Amino acid sequence: MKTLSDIEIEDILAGHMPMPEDIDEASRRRMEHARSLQARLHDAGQAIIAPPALAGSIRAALDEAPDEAPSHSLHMPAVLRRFAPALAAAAMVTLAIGLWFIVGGTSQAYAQPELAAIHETNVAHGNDFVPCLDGTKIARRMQKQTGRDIHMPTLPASCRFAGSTLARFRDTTVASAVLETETGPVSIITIRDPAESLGFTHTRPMGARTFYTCHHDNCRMAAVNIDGLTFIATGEADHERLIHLLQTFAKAQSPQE
Amino acid sequence: MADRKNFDELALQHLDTVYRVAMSLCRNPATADDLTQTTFLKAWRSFESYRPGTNMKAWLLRILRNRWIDVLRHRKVVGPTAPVEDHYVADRPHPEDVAWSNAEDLLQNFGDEQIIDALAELPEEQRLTLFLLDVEGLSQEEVAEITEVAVGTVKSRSSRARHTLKERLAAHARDLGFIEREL
Repeated sequence: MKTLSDIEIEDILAGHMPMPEDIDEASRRRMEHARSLQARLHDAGQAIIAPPALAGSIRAALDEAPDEAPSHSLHMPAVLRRFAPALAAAAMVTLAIGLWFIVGGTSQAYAQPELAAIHETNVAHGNDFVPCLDGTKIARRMQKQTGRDIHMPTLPASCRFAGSTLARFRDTTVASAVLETETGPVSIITIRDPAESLGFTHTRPMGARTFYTCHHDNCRMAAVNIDGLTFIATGEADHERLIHLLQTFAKAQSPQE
Repeated sequence: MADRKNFDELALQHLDTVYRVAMSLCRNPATADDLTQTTFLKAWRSFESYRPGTNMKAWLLRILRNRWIDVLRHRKVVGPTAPVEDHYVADRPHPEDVAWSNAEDLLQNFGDEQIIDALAELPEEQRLTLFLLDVEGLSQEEVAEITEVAVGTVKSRSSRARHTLKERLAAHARDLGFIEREL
């Protein structure tokens, strides 16, 4: 008799997978509950409708909105016309600096939710999770993805390797090692972007390295640059424990440390 | 004005959907009104970028979500934190299943508002994901596109959301005496 995983239940509800016939009683019951909840939620949610006046006020607002950007004729005083090329160049520089800040800022703002989502999905055994207790095999898979030699450390006694995953981060594929620790699962995500680009709020210089920390919702994160890669530890564990884990990874990459 | 007519026909038919999802995000009717209105205005201004024949509902909901992120940034509000029990362990035991021996009957004891209130207690991304899947009937792929995450993340979020919602409803059911307190 088969036991359905949580993800399989989601796939069956979504119609991506047929309901297997040989499932155990607990799975059958969980499936029934999920279907009942789905139906009840649908009915309750569909009872919410927009206030009747809202359509009218949106149409009125749309009527007032310009169809296209207003065209401006250029009546420039002679003195300004003389300096127009210089002014245009200055405007371009200002715009470029502004865009640099905006794009950089937005990218930083999204880094933490993206990293937290990768960890959440890793924990749910998504992101092409491959279970593996052997650090060497995990390193091999991560190496294949990053093109860099990655060495797995000897973990503290309270931790063990659980597997590895591949996920998307900032439009690139990134590899993670998933660890089981006494304070819950921890993902060690490796990326090529420097830790400074992640917008983490705190820095902790420790020895020759600087560790960056932040938290997003309940997910804590610590990051460190190691030989051209950034290692990010993400999980529920406190920052000290995450930094300690990263120190073991740093040591594994540079044994002379 | 041909475009405007086209926009009205294509976009405004999704008014209820946009409003419902806005309500699920902000949980306040006045804010939902504003959010819905600014979503349609933004959609109209960006209508040139909409590719005819693609999913208008998903396009609008993505604009809505981005507008909501802008609102939160403007307010400098940090989203609701997940409760401790929200941390996920795949395929953990489901003790609440005992209390849900007859789920359909149990759920009928709750009014629509109580169901929506329980949903509102979930962390924002879980709430939005479950709302889009179960209430709006969108596919996991569409939800992934709207929420800008991988499909795997949608699955894990919806699974966690279902577990948390079941736990909340079971707790409310115990409080209200629908099921035995000792459970």
